[in-house]
Amino acid sequence: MRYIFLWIFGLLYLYMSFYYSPLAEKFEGISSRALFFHVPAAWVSLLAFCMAAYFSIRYLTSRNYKFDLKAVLSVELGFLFCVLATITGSLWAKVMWGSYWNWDPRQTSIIAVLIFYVAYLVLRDSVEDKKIKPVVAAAYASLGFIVAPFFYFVIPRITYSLHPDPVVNTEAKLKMDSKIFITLIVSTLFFTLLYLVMLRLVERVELLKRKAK
Amino acid sequence: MLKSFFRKSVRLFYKDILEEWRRPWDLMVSFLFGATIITSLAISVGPQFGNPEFVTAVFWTIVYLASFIAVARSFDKEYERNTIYLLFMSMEYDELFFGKLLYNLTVLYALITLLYPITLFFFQEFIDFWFFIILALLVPLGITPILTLIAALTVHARHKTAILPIVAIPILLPLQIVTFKLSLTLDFSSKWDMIILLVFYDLVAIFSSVSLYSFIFAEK
Repeated sequence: MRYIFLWIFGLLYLYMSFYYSPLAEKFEGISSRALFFHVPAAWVSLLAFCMAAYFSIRYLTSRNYKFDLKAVLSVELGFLFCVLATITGSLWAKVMWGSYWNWDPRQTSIIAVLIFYVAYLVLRDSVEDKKIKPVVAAAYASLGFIVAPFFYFVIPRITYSLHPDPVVNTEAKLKMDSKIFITLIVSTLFFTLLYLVMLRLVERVELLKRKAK
Repeated sequence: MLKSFFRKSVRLFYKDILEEWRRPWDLMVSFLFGATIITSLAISVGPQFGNPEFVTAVFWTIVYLASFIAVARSFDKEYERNTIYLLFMSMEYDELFFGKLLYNLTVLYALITLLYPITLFFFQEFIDFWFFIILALLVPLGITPILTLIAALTVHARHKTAILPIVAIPILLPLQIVTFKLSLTLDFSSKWDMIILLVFYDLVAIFSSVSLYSFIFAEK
């Protein structure tokens, strides 16, 4: 009963994405349904990376180890959602464009973001001094505030993209069926909630592990 | 207050310059690294290398790689000789960072000035000179603060020489993309938005690295 909202949103998400929402025009077969997994996963990865940057700044200002823990867990979760967004995007690209990899700016951008967070994990692991490690990691993750938004928002807009127009486009017009749009909003809310619950759970597991030590 | 800040930073800058003057080969390594790549490319590919835009893109890639070698040493040498603790005692963290930043910026400008004639010698064709000057002034302003900060972070890491490019490349990638996009055109009048983006990146890089550096050592 603790995560009742998550269950309600989960069931609503499944119903809306498979039955309520119509298939989008100009899309091959049922491929448009991938939108309800791919877009929220990409959104949550951005949210998780920005949260990691926020927690890192909080750690640098307060030196409270809980913020460092939240930052690293947020990066790990963001990484997971980013990989899921990349895989679903590639599968969709194969159906729509005929190839898994098309040098689309959004594809290259997401790979660049993944490299940045792999570098974060590598840097964190390579520092042995337990006092310095969280400081170094936090300083690096804070730079995510420059990197992540640039790759998510700037690069796809300054280069030609095969991708369908983003929801927030340059003309500020909604080029989407209203039912699809509502389903997208619900799926994004569900994924956001899922991320927050997962973050809370993994944080509790880590804190219990530390207590046990 | 501000006068004292600059005086201490400039003193550190002067110390580093004097040190390089006494041991010039330390700095020459990064220049020779860049020069060797340019020469080897010229010898292996010959005059059919490509168009001026492509030569410019290759030139900037080499500058990026050579700058890793040049800047990586800025904190490393202080830790190796334990002089970093003397610096911590004698100046504030932001004064130390600013001093190192000034030195690294000078090194990078020197590197570009030295590598440019070599590239020109072998490939002759290059993008418009004044356009190149704009890029040569703006690009190091973005590279240097980020690399100086990363050099300070990776100094505590195992395999620091390998870690530095792994950690720095993803942050410098936006700058690299913008530089390449600017280099791949001869008509820069239509690329003002990119130049604005470059200036914006420089400002964010300077602000974030200066503000983060003082936090890194806040407890020391």
